[in-house]
Amino acid sequence: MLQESLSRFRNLAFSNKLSAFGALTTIGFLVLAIAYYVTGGRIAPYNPDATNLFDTNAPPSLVHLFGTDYSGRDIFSRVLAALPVDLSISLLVVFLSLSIGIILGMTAGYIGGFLDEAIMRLSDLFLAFPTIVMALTIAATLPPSLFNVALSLTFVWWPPYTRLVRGGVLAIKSEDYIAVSKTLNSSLSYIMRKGILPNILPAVMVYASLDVGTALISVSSLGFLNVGLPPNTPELGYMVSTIMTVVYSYPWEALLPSVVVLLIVLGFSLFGDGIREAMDVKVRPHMVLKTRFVGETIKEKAGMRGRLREEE
Amino acid sequence: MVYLRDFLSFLGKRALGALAIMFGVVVIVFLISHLLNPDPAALWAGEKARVTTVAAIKAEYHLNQPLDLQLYYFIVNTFTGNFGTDPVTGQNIAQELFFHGFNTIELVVASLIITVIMGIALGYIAGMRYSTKIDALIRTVYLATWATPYYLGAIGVILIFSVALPVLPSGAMYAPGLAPPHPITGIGLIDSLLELNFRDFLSGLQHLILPAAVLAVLDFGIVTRVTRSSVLDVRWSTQVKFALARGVPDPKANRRHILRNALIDATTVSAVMFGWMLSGTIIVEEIFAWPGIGDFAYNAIVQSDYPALIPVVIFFTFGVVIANFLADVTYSLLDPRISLGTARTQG
Repeated sequence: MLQESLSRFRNLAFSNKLSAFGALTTIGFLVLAIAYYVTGGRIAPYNPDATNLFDTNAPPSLVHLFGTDYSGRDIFSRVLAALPVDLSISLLVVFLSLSIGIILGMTAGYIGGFLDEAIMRLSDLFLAFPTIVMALTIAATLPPSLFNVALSLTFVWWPPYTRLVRGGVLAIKSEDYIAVSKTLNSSLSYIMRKGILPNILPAVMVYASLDVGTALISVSSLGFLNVGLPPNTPELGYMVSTIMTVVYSYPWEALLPSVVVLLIVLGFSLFGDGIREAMDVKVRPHMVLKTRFVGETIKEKAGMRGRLREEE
Repeated sequence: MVYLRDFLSFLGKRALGALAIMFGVVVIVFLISHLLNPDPAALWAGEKARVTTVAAIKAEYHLNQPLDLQLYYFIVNTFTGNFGTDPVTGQNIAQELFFHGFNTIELVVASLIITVIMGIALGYIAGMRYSTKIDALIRTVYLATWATPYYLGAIGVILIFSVALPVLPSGAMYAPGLAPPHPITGIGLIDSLLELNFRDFLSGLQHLILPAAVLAVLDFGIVTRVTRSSVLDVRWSTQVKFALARGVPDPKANRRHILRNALIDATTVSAVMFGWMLSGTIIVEEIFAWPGIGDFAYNAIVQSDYPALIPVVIFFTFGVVIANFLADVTYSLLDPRISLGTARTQG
């Protein structure tokens, strides 16, 4: 069962070159971040906080892959140290928003009535706040910590999830099998867990995987504005902002960390976008049939037909 | 005319809804600024403030009164535009907001125009050439620009167009030493044209190009994506097949049935874009030293100038609410089914 869904996932993710590139980048950066965290930073060539005033603003070389910054810290090591920080905050934002979205969206969609109206108006209200501005204000009000950065972003991040889940529930709610389940006197929580959740989850997860990248841009933007993070946290956006004063003399110091942000976000977007397209029934039949996913299914079917004929 | 009456009642309903949201926004901002921190006066006064300063702030912003009265004053002051004086600059906050606000509107409207034209054109092309090399190219470009953080985009274009090939200025609104036009409408480019001050106009335009282009190029992706997917939604639909079957020539069918349908979705998403761009202005204005509301907000945060920051948040949010309202109105003009209450369900 698990193996089957894993292989189906692999087929989806590698169904075209773009999403395969996305999947590989995403997995690569996640592995690096976890490795850095688990080994306690031992995979980094230097201590990310160690300054060396005799070797400042060094250009990228084999000794310092990404060069060094104004106080001689190794930028490559700092980028490695920033990966778990950035990725964990953005994953946490998406996870919290997803949880809020599932609870509120299922309540609004399934129970309906006054609760639906109230939840949807509330999400309209929160949708009006420009994300970075609002997150900035909350993060500036709360004491600086990584968790509070995630909280302040979640504050404005949940409404799209709620709407997506609610829309999914409304589409499924009137299906026959839900009616049958009700007739069989299944409990509300059973219908929600077994009847509705598994059917809306794929679409929501695709959105979430696209969204991690967007969340990461916002996290690093907060970092760039230096709001909410404890002082000297290795964070990609914050790293860029600390070198803004020398950016015209040493552009790589700002460009390399921001290109890492670009690659991570691009990875998540390509990955999510590819899966979404491959799952879309309206569009899939018109895809050019040279992709691995479609190709293999056809081959499999052809093989099965061949076998059936042999048995005849 | 039945349709007009429906349209007007739709308009009224949406306007009421927008007002209700504005009211809710003020209440939520109040809760965040007055409740989230146990002692807002101490936070607003700064870390090293004297006891007397804290007491003065408490008195000025009614922080020593019961919470319901505080909320009352907050709502009244917000809707009458009475935000007091800025403790850092010593100027009237409402006036500062207006000055910076119009500069931001100039920037955002300029980039919104570029975004919409570029986004719809590329999205339409990608949708019509679905699953070809052109489609893949456009998709990669929009995903890559969408994935680019604003600071990378801004630093990148400055490095290319101001440092490597010095053709465009990297900051401010006018060339140094040039007096800005007298405010008539508040929007610099229009003012300088009205005053026939072509030096200011040209300089303003030169300084506008880079920041507006950064905002536009990094944000057109979402418009392209929506346009492309709505083109894909209808391209193989029965209405288009039928149009072709009854002999409507190809270009006409494309225009009337595919492009028009895509325009409706693109309008809605443009309002969302407006909110995104307002958020983006914080970083772009900061890097380009553009004296807009984002720059103002950033300075307020750096200087812990909360009395100025709170109105800025409200100003931003009201901007988004008004943009959404305008999008709703345009939407219903483009698609009469919306105001007739027979709106299509969106999947």
